[in-house]
Amino acid sequence: MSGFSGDFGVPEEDFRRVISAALSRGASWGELYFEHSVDNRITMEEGIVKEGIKSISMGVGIRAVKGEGTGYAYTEDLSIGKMMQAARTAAAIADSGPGSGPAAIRESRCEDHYPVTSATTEEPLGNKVAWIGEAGEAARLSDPAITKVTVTLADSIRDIQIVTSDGRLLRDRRPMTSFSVSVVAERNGNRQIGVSSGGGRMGPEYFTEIKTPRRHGMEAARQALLLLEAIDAPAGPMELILAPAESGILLHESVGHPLEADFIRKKTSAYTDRLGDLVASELVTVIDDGTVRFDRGAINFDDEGTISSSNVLIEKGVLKAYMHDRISADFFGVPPTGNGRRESYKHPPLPRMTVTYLANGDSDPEEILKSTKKGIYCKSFRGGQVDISNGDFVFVPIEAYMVENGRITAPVKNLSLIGNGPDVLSRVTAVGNDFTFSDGRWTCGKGQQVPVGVGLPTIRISEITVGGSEMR
Amino acid sequence: MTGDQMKETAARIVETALSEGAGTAEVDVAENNRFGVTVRNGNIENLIESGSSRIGISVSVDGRKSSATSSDLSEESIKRMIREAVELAAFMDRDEYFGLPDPEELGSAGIDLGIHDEETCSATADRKIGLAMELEKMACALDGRIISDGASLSSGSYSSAFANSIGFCDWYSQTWNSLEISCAAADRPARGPNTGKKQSSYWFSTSCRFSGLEPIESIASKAVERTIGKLGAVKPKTCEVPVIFDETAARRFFGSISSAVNGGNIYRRASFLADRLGEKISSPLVTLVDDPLIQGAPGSRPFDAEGVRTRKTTVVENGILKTWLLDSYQARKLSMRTTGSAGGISNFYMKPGDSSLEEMIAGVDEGLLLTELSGPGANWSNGDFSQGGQGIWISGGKLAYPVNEFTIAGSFLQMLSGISAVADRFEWKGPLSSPAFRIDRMTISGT
Repeated sequence: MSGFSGDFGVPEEDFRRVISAALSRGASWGELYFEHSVDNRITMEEGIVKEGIKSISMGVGIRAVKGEGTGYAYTEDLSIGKMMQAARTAAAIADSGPGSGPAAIRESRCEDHYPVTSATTEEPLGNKVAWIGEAGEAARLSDPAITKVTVTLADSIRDIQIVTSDGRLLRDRRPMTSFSVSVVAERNGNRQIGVSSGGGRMGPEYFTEIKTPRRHGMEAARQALLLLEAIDAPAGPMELILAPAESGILLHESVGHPLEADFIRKKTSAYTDRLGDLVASELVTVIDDGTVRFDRGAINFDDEGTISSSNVLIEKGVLKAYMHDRISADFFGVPPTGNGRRESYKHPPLPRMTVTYLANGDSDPEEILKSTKKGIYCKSFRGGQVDISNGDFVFVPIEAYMVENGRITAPVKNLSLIGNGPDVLSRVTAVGNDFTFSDGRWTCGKGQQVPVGVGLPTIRISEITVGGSEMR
Repeated sequence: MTGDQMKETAARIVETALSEGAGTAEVDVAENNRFGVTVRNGNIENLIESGSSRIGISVSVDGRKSSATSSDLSEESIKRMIREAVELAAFMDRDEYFGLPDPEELGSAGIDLGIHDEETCSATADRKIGLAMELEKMACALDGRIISDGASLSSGSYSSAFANSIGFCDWYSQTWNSLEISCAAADRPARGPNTGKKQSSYWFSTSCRFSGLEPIESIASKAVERTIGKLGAVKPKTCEVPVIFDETAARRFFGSISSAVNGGNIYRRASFLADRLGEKISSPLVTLVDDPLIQGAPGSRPFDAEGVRTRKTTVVENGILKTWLLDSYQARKLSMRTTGSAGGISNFYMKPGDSSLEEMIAGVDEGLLLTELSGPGANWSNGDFSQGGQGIWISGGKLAYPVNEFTIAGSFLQMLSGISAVADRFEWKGPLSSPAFRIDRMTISGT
């Protein structure tokens, strides 16, 4: 049980007093971010269910904003005295006369993009242990070369309540299920790791509707066994084909981060002052959408109370918009886009992605492959990193193959791909019609960790630097 | 809470857990106080000040283990948490290796580690804000091309009391300070669609003592030098050359090695070093140490996360892999003894050698000074290494021009064996630090 009713037990009168205190030195915006979270994790290792962990945290983050300045304080004690003290600490960001707090507070409602009937957190422990066991067994029985199997089921419920200085109160209950199988395969001193993970803002139906524990187990084993056969990747510039779904990590790194508007406001991003410019091939349309149903990156409203929406960032190659929180939106005089997110009540919000994807094209994926003479084909990824200022990004495949004369051939290992955002996106020469969202396994780190989603159809990039170790 | 109050609380919760049916119990009570300011263009952009508390409980019932953590320290909540943990334990399998540490391992190092600094707690917010303001002003004044991405000072204190059901109960407190500036500058690419290209870098200093921070003049000039030094960077040719890792790149490299010697990754067989205890894994110039007892160092602590007395551990000595870093569970799994490493590395570093960075550069005809690594391509599980890089090209023994958008790749074992020079100094930058070093040959993938 989550053991939490969704009500923080703070009377409306206290909301108004605390917000007024946050605005008492002239801040133009303030909000109270109440959060109660329950996180569970059960891990199986070496065939036994080894440890269960349950974490509960509750607190309120109080923010006062003036211009580009943020004052922030939090407390785990929701008594009026402690909240007033935190509000006065946050208020100190401004230094003029008192601003006015809200006269009344009204509850705002919005569409629910993750209407689960029951959360995994409320599932009987016996069921959870059974799913973990099924996955572990499927992985172990796949092949004698599988020497170790680790299965983790993590689930959480986050109850959020935001009270804003413009008099709105919003409530949300954010469920999450995450499942992961990691295996070690060993043969003649060669050791490889295979991983299969997924989930979303879903309840236990994830395991029946999206992917069963058994399939995760088999998939992790298949990947590790494949990597035992892989050859070392070549070094140098090559053509690249990205398979659907997980490859969306390319977008997340290459243009996602540099279009977060805090970097634009500070003029440190390579995409600063480039609205209206052609920044990618005309085949490229990029969208950030917090409303993708049941997706790991979905949010009904962001962590400063802006209702989620779908935002076109790049349309047919032309840069249309940045991703804003309230501060950057105010700075540029545009409406906030619902991208103000935070890790927890201990953190002030920042512009962050939700579900970032490349829109479907019209090429036949088979044709894209057939028409590629020599290159690399990537199916799954470990993750990536970007340098916001120069646009250079790295992303690291797990499952990748050589492409020779239009056919997928040998699996390759040990490679990073490095490219420059604007360069690489202008080299997209084909976009497939097989768009798919990635299974929910991505967490983005920008000082704070938040869950995100990605998606992509098959695409081809005419040249990217493949960073293997083999000089050919 | 005072240290004594925290200890009492931890010991009392252990008693409660035992009375609720736990066979063994371990309790950690922690308090954090944190101050942070970021200034940009002469204005305060972020100001954070807060304190928080947390308790963690691990219980076992008949060799079945579970844990719970909570931010709610009320009596009622703690009781509920213990009951839920005991209930959860029943669903776990029995683990014959699980147990509290051997009683003779428990204890505190018993020396003053110099990790708590009163000035960090007493320095006023205005003084801390002033320091960040000065740092930013100084960096911007050094070069007109600098765009400030903000100067930050964060500081705080952390105290933790730990108690278990076989009589350990102790407490310590430490402080931390970090001062940093991030800079950018407009760059002009030779060609291509990236007309908004910029370069950025940063420098930071960290210390337990407020007065131990590097002087702001020095932080500002390093950040500016590292940023301006990247202007005009080009993509290098695909080639094999010697590579010098500066301290920043070296820290990231040895971060992977510290994971590869972690006992958890060894018994899970998720480390390229898993079968190599006692073997030569590296050039004899490499000695790696984890030392929790260094005066005033950022990772120092008197006991580890399960109450085991801490001690210095030489993990790799002159190239020979001597031991893993182990907690008591991992030690039992591997038939070894704990190294007092529960909770992770303390101060993990490579012992300095006898070359200066300048000598190392002068000894390279064509090669690379690597200043940054990026991406998750350092795979310490299978030993493969391929990461994105930025740096400065070396030609004829001199720094020639900046390079970016390339990868460097190889295998950890080749890289460790290829270390042919180690610099004679390093600065503490958190729990993991390393002098610069040179690897004789690596594959660079560029144009």
